[in-house]
Amino acid sequence: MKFVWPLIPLILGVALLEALRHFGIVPQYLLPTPEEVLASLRDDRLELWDGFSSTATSSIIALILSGIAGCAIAVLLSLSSVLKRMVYPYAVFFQTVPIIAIAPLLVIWFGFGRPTVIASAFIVSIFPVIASTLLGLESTDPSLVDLFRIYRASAWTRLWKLRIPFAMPQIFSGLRIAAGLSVIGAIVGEFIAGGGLGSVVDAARTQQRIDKVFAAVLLSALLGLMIVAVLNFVSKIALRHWHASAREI
Amino acid sequence: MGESSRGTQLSLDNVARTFNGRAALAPISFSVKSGEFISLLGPSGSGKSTLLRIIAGLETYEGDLKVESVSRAFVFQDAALLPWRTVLQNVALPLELTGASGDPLAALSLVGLKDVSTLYPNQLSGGMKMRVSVARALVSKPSLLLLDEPFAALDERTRHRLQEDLRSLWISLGMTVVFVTHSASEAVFVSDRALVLSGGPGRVIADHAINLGRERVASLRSDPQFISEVSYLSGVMP
Repeated sequence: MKFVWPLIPLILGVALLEALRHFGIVPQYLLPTPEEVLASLRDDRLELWDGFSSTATSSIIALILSGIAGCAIAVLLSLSSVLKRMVYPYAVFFQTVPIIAIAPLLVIWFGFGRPTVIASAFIVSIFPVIASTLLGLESTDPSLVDLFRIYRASAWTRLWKLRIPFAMPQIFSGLRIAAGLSVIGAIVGEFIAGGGLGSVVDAARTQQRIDKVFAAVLLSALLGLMIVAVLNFVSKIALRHWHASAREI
Repeated sequence: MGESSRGTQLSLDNVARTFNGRAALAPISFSVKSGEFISLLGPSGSGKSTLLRIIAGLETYEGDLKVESVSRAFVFQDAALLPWRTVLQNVALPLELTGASGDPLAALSLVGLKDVSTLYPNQLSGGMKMRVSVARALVSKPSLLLLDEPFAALDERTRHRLQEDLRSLWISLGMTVVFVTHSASEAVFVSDRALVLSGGPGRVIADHAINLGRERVASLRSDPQFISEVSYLSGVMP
């Protein structure tokens, strides 16, 4: 049943779009039929698959990088309140700068191709990891902090044996948000720097191949869902012993 | 330290604590003999937990505090277990942190939980979690055991069982125990002496000896002497 409920709005939505087309409310060239999108998925499969695997590679690399760098930065910021006060406002500031505005700069710095795409995906996906990990590191159960103090555990031991494991649910929730954003960042990067599903969308748009645009958009959504599903699976295993409330995030 | 079995384990001389300029604890003086089981009894806000945390070394204070103890252990109101560790790994934590030697399985058998050593905290009931927490405190064989309202969140039956078990553990292990509670009947059942604290700022308003013998069994709760001790302490308590 879990998978049936989300299908209902999908079917209703497709039916509505079909009706809009059928009665001429929306012109034919703006909306493809479901059959046309499926045909594009079949006929353009080689090009779409190339784009999909390229975008997937870039997003996953960027997600891994922002996971590692984001956690490391959050740990550093949690160790020093002075550092946090100095650096954190910039992290917030950078998050508000639209990636589409920075993307041309990235091309100048990294050139056309994958490095720019990865940089773009990395920039948009690192912030949620930093914010969420920092929140997790700073919300350690006070009784547990006291327990470690009573046994005179060093700051290093407290970090490794208490604060980082305690922050795991928050780290995973940051990574889940970052996963969706990394696909968005990669596609924005590809619009400017070329390659991947971003290029497919851009080229299909100029060729008036609205069916192919839809097929590529569908695949990019699928990619985001797949990465989130993998993360959910990993987090379920990693957090299987936690209390139900922590597992359900 | 061993031979001074009736020496002073703990002495407080005008120990006080202020929070943001407001006195939380008025200057308090008392001492606890080695191997003694005392309760700090008081209403919420009397500073009894603060006092316990001062003794544990978790809070700053004014005045003079002497703790004759190589090792102390603390039991929190919530069990404070690490959810990602098994019961056995939780009990072994103090040994890991201090590098001391000890037997976590033996500590678990003391609280009757040897069979659940491989389970995780989320698989245990509230009473079992608290037993694990007590086992963790005992694993390093502390000479001073500090408990901060450990049974307050448990149902009455479980609370009574744990009070009986704590008393027998104390008889067999002989460490000094400082037990914080807001319940007069709990203080009377588990301890040999109750210090009653007044409302904020806390100060000692009674230092009462409870002479109900060493062994305490469940039937003691209906004993007239037990009831009169409880009503005496309830009367003194603000």
